[in-house]
Amino acid sequence: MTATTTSPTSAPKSRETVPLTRSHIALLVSSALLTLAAGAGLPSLVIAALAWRRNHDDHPGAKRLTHIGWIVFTVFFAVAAIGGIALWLSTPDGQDFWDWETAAEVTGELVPIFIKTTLLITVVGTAIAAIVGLVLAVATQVMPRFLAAILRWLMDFIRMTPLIMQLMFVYFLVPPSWSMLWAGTVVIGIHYAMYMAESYIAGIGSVDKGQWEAAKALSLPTPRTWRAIVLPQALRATLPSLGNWAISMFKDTPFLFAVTVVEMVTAANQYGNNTFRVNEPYTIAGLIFLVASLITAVAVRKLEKSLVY
Amino acid sequence: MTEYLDTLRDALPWLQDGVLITLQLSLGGAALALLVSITLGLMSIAPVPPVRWLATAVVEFFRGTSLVVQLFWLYFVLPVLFDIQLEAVLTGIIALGLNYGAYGAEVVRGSINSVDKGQWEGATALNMSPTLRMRKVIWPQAWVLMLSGYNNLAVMLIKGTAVALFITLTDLTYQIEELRKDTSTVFAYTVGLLLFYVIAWVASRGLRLLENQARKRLGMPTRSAHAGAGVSLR
Repeated sequence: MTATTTSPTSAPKSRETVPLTRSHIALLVSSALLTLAAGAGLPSLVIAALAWRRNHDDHPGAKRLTHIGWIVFTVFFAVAAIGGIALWLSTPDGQDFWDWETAAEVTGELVPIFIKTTLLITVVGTAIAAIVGLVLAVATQVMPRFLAAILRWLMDFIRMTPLIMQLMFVYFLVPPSWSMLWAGTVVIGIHYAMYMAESYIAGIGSVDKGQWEAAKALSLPTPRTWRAIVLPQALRATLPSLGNWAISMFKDTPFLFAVTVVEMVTAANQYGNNTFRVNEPYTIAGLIFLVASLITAVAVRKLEKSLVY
Repeated sequence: MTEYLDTLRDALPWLQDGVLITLQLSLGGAALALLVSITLGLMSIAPVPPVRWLATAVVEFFRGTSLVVQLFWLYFVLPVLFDIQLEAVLTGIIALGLNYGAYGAEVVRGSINSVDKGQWEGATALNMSPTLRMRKVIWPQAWVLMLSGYNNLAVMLIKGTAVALFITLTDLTYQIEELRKDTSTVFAYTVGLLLFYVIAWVASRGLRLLENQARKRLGMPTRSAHAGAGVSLR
């Protein structure tokens, strides 16, 4: 954090009060209001206060903290809003619409499943997609035109047909003794490999023509030109969109529902079937997705920034 | 093989029903998504901060959660919570429209923002009102970029209609599953995947034609069928 401090120490002390940004003031006010209303605004209020303190000597740092404060505020606001609606709707007679005990129980059950399967599928699937996609992208560029056209059509075919149908296809095709978790992960990986291949192809296309010509002038062999000159530059241009495809993939993991992998939404569904309570499992499954994808999005943006420079 | 083809011929009426439901979901979802994306996209560049915040919150919410979760929520939780039971097709259209509409809002916002700064300044210098400037100068140029983004989204939306299976709709995916029981896995699913491919291909090609037409109007070079296919949904 201290390394990112940009204000030089030689700056005149009299001008240390940089005006607060509008976003910061809004965060302070809305957090305070939320704290007064439900208490859930406290975490973001603390962050806003920290940002206020920091604003005196580290304006960019304060802006970043404000940004984090907004994310925290959104998450807590969502939780408070859903809780509030549920409390408001819950009736004294008959079954409650929202039961905190059930909610806690569901959370305890879903989070480990989320970490174990959803994340595993996403990580392994991304690795498969990134590698297969790269191989396919390079193949379309080096193959004879006719074969490349056929390959391109096949890639389009897989890319433009539903993942669920492909999963079901493979489910009925492979012997029942095989692990559907792994078969499903491979199918998701290959499906997204087609998207990633398109991103790679665009990245390869964005490499300057002069780079190819210079490599040829130096009489570098073609494989080395690819390895040492073109791909490093293409990858740098492609990486941000690969991260975004990983997020998309992560949101598609519930499709493994179709092939009976016990996965978070399936588990929520089963919980609902067993206990006849559906509000808590689906809501909490959605919240876990929301929080996880917000964290992933922030991480991807960080990675993007560190790669550009 | 011939007996499979006979079975396929007998199953044609059901397959037709399935394709019809898939088309209903696709067209309805696309129409709603277009509406939602333009509304939220314009809101997210509004000069009034609270309007912008509201748009960002809604977009992030629908982009952040999975389509399946939203669908389940609409179909199973909404009836319990608010005593509203929507028809299955309508539920599918709403879920698809909101989810892909949120992605589309980012397409709209990004396209409008990437119109050259000089165009904004030029229009302002000509004393155009903000509405006229948007309508006559910015929108036509942003529209070209938008169509490219919408192309990807349309294919994704058509593929997304297959989740209708989860809310007891008898769409194409369901009918193919029925066909599989009478024929073989490879046969039935090849038919199903081809049908989906044709629908998606027609939609993608149609949007590409529209895009190339819009590009021609602006005097820009036309683009190939693959252009923008690798642009990720962010």
